[in-house]
Amino acid sequence: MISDEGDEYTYKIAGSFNAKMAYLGSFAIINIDNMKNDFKIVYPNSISLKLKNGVNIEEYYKEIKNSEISDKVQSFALETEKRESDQAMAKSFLSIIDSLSIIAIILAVIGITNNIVISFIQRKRIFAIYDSVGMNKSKKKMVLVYESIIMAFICIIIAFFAYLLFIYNVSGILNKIGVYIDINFDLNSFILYSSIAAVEIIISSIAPILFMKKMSIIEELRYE
Amino acid sequence: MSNIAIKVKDVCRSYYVGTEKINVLKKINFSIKKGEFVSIMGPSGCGKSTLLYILGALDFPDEGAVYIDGKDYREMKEKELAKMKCNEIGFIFQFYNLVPNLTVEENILLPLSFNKEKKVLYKERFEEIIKLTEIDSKLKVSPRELSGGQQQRVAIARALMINPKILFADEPIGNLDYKTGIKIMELFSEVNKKYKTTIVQVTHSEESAKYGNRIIRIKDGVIQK
Repeated sequence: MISDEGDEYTYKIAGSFNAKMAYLGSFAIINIDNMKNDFKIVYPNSISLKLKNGVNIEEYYKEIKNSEISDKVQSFALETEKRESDQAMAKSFLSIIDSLSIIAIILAVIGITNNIVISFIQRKRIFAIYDSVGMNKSKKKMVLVYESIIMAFICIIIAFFAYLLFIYNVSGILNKIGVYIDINFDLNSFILYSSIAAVEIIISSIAPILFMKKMSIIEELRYE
Repeated sequence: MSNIAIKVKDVCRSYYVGTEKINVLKKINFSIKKGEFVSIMGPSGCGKSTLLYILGALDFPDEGAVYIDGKDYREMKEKELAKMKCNEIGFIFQFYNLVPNLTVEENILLPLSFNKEKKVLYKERFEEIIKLTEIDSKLKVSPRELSGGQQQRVAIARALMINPKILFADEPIGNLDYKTGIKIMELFSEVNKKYKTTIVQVTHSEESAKYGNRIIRIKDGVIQK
């Protein structure tokens, strides 16, 4: 075990327990003297109590809350309350990840739209050539829409593998920073976000279609 | 059946440069017979290229009408017009306008991509055209690897692939050296005679105009008598 000062101490594991102490973080029960000597902690910042079988939890909780002890302790919480607060914390952490995903999708879609428009501007002459050899307007529009569909499809495939890579690595990374959350592959979320991205990419093909309407075929073909 | 390939009636076209209106074509009237090889000539900015693009339905007149094979193309639906361009009209440009990321062969076959009926019959025609235009040894290369003359031959082959009734050429040798230009003009002459294709070219060169059998001279947007 390593103290806040960086000193290492070797402890022998005497046993394990499941006391539902917390849903986040890892815990070890050590002697109070060792806590004071090795870790320089004079007062613990939280105390968990495991009650004997047959003790009424609710009544005991009320009793402590109304006793003198409550004047010296900042707050009391039942295991159920603690669990709820831990779950709320995990949820807020996941919602941060969720909003980051949405921001990433929005930025990616802006980038892809930009690419689609630039790619069209660079190929205006080619579309004018297609026009000169008899490609009708709806076919030209379909070329742009098909390109967007293919692009969306490629994006989803890449995102799938990136998502898998993230899922397999993120738990380990979070463990390193002391956050213990099991993150699993969520097919529904993947389908939802992929569909949003695909629809946005396909809609973004409207921009070059509008540009194409204003394009002067003669200007594109006549000059080098 | 009428012998007129193209009829131009009271065609006017104007552009705005800033707020100033410039009348490029002023009530143009003429007809071109089937199988004719016509050269449109005139000084720079007189409207000859604008006229050619209007004849080829790449641009449209403000007033008047153009009849291709007796049909006013302004009355056609967009798909019908595209089909006409695909089946009946070939266009050749001064700067070739080949698709750079396609091979020579793919460029030549490009018009057939939009023409399922003709695609079936393409093999024989393809062999004939690549021999006529002398590009049979360059089929797998990119247009970027070709000289100007070779690129123009590819453009001609592409235009001829659909066996067009009318071939429009906008200064086809304007970007080529003299010798290559002569060869291209000889090729046009051969196409005109061999396939009876109506050819309309815009040119500055009196010499290349001589390969045709009629010259239409335009000055300040009107035909010179």
